[in-house]
Amino acid sequence: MVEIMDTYIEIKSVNVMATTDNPTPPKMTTKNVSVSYDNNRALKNVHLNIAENRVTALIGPSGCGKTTYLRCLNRMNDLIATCKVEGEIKLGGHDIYARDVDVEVLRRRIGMVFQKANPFPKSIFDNVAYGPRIHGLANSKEELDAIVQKSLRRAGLLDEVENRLNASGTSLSGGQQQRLCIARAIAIEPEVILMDEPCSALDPIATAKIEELINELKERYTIVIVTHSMQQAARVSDYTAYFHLGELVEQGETNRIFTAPKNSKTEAYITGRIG
Amino acid sequence: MTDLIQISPLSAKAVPGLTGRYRTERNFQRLGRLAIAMSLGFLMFLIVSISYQGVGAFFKTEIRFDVEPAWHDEAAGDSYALLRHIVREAEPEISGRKARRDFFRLIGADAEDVLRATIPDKKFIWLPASDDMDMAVKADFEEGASRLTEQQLDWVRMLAEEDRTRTRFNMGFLTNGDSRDAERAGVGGALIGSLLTLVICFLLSFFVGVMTAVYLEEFAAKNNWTAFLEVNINNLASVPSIIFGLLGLALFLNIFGLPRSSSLVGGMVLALMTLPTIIIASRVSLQAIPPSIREAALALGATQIQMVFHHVVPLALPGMLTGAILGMARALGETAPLMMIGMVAFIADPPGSFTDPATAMPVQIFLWSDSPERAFAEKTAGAIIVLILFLILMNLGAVLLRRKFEKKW
Repeated sequence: MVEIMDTYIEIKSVNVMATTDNPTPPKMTTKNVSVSYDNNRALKNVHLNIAENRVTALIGPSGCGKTTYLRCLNRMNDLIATCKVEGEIKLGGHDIYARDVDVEVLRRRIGMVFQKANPFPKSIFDNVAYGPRIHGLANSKEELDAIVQKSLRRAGLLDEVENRLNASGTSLSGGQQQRLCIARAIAIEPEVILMDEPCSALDPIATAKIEELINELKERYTIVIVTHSMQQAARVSDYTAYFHLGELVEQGETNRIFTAPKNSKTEAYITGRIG
Repeated sequence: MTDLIQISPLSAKAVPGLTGRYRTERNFQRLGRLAIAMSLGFLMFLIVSISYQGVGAFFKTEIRFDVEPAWHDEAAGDSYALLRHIVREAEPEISGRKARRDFFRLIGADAEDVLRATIPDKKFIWLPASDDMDMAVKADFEEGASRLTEQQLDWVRMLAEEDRTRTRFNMGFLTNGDSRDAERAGVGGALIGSLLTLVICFLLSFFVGVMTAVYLEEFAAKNNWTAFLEVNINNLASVPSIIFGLLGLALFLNIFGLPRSSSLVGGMVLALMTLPTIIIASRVSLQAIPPSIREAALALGATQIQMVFHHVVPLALPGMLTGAILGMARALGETAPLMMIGMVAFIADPPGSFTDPATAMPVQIFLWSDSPERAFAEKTAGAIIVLILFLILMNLGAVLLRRKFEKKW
């Protein structure tokens, strides 16, 4: 507990100032969201706002519904036939579950990075270029090259792969693969990036690189990250939401959640007594 | 010295029951090796016995005769007259109608074809021997190995001693169509027939099968109706092939009026038979593509179609192709359905198009195995060798295609 707090205070002090001085407008709002699989409630009446250009961390023990919540935000739950989503989720004021919403348009604006790095078994270039290609973002080979270079640079991968863009994406190391997936996600310039435990399969050095990257990315993108590591939540996020058994127990500025949790369950979790 | 006899606490004997477990493991491995040895043994027996019987079909015996250019002019294009002239000049001591006729039986029915094709300025000419003499030479003049009389066998021995016989590769066996004369009969027609049939079969079954699998696996809702379809596809895969032949006879020939005995109809019938195999193989290879790849594409805003055709199908393609080629290999060996649609007829000319009457390799083997002449027994085994080589080539192709398209991740 003491260790966690030490790490947290060192890194967070700057962010705390920023968030308290300028309350940022919500990029996404969720009201009364409930999700059920085959009549099993996975998520109950969640109210949560996602602040623009901030990192929101979703924490909680396994099976608490944080990944389910994340996958509601870009409608990846649509793929599961038995999954039923109720409530209201808005992106920039528009209901994303409205009848005339096209999921492809939605996912173009809300990118996602998965728990396990999943590059396509194609070249590094093609991995990053795939999104811009299908959305017609580049009119020429030069433009496409520029997008790929820019995305790889923003993902902090360019220096490592610059001379082997034609090598297979799957030939990279685990951490590089995950950064490639981030480059692929930001190549189509989404507004929000959802990250589902992006570091769970990585070693501490690769994790540190990704966390550094998240800090840089939040200048341009709104980030929602699911994590099992409370140190990670403390290090990278501005806001934290604690889920427990399908309910949103507590939310607030990361600083406040970790130093003065209001709910006893939150306190028990962050101090390591449950989880 | 006593400590050498003592069992080390680290040895297997120190743990009760461990040596027994090791023994079971060794016995299991032995059984496995025995099973492999047995299956290899059966396979070797098949290959060795077929090769032993059939290798002769790829060789033919020829007899040398002297010839003068003037004889060609005398015969004036009548190759049969020329042939008689050549034989009479070569063996003047054989007199009498019967003896001459017996000697003439040593010369193959295709000798005339050879004469017709030769330029008339040669000093001598190699003429193919008849199937009876061919069998006698291949059996080393053994008594009873051929239908030749004592007298004819003596002549053959004489020809061999004079160095007037030779054995050559029988190209005609690979290029000729079927014939009543064993010397002329070849698998060329059946090979082309099989090839045309397989082309039709592949074109129809691969694309229809893959599209069916892709739709069922990637797009169709999972409900009772698709479950019912799945059960029926699995059932179709196990329907005896002759039923498909009957269906083809009733549907394609009698109702649609397509040409009987043609490789077009043969291919269509075999496609019906191969479709379920390809659908099942394709669905299995689609199922093997990890969901993470699908999610990656969808999360980038790809549509279902883009996800399937940009990522899933290319990755599943090696499996689909392997399934298709295995289905094709099975189709290549099918006889029963082809007999139902008339591809069992005696067809001398190799087919020139998809609608020409044709026969196929296994049907040719079936037809020849029924022929009484001894030479056809050799041809049957020879045709089996060709069919097996064809199959090996196809399976090799499957392996190579798989290697080419397979991607590592």
